[in-house]
Amino acid sequence: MAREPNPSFMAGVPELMILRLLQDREMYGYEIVQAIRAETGDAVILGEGVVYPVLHGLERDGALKSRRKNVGGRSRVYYTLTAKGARRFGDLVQTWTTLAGAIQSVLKGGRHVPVV
Amino acid sequence: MSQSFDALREQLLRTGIAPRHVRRYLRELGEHLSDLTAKEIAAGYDVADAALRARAALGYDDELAKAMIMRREFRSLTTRAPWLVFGLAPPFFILACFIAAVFILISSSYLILGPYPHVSLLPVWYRSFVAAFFSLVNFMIGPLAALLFIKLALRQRMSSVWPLIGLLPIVLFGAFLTLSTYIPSVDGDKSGYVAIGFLTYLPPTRDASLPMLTLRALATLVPATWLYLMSRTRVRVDKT
Repeated sequence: MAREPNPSFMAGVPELMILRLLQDREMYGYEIVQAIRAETGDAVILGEGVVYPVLHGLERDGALKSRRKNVGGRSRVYYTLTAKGARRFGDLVQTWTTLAGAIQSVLKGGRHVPVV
Repeated sequence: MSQSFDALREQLLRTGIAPRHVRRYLRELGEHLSDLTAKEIAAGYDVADAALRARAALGYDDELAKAMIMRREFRSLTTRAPWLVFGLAPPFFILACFIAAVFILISSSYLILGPYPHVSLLPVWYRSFVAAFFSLVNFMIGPLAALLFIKLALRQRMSSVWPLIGLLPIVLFGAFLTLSTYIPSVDGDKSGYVAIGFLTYLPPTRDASLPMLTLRALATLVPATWLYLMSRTRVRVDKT
C-alpha cells in the first residue's frame, strides 16, 4: 500500500515542483505526479489526487493554461506554463533558495545569534 | 468509476465547493485512477488488488476533500453569499425578466410598424400575440424562478432555510407582480401603455384578479416544493 504522505510543512512544495516540471513541456496530472516521484526519488509523497486542486488553483491565477487532448484514444487535460506562471516560478525559487539557505545555516549552527 | 467518488462528491458539495469545480476535479481524479489501475495491473496485480492499490495511491476521500476545501477560491457564490443569491437575487431576476418581456414587446412592435406610425395601427393578430405573451410571462416567471432557485439550493446541498428564504420574494414578485399592456384601437383617442402592478393594484386585467393571483401563487409554490421534497427524499434514500 501507499506510504504516508508528507506532513503539512510541505505546503507550497507541490506548486513549486509543478511549475518547474511544466517549464519543460505540457503534461497531464498523472504524468506530473509520476515525474515528481521520479525526480525526488520518492522523497516527496503526495496523495496523488491532491495535485489537481493545486493545478486548478494555478490555472485560476493565470499561472497555467489547460486544454483537453486525445492521446492514444484517451482524453486528458494537459497543462502548460504561462508567462505569469514563469514569473511566479522565478519568485518562488528565490524565496525557497533564501529559506533553504537560512534553514541550512540554522542546522549547522553557523549564524545563530542569541537574543539577549 | 464515478461511483467510487460519490461520497467525495457529496462531501465537497456540502462544504460549498462549486458544482463545476467538483465535476472537473472528479473527472480528472477518475482519469488519474484509471492510469494508476492500469499501472498496477501491468505490474502483475489482479484487477481487485490493482483497484485497491490505485485508490490508496490516489488518496482517500478525506485527504482529497481537504485539498479542495482548504482553497476558498473554489467555493460557490451560493455558499459564500447565500443571502445575496436567495435573498436579493430573486426580485432582481424577476424584474429583469419583466423588463426583457417589455423590451421584446417594444422591439417587436417596431419591427412590425417601423419607428413612425402610431401603435393604434398594430394588426389584430399582433394584439392577440401581445395579450398571450404577457399572460405567459405573468404565469411562467414565478414558477420558473422558483424552480431555478430551488435547483440552485439542491445542487449545492444547502440547508432548507435558504430555499425557503428564496421562495418568499419569488412569490411576492413572481406571482403577485403583473405585467399588462393596452394598445389603443384606430378609432380610439387614448394612448397605449405598458404597466406593471402589484397584487390587484393595476388597471383591471384578468391576470391580476384575485383567483388568478392565487392560482399563480400555487403554480409558483407547488412544483418547486414538490421538486425540493422529492430530491431531499431521494438523497435520504441514497444515504441509507
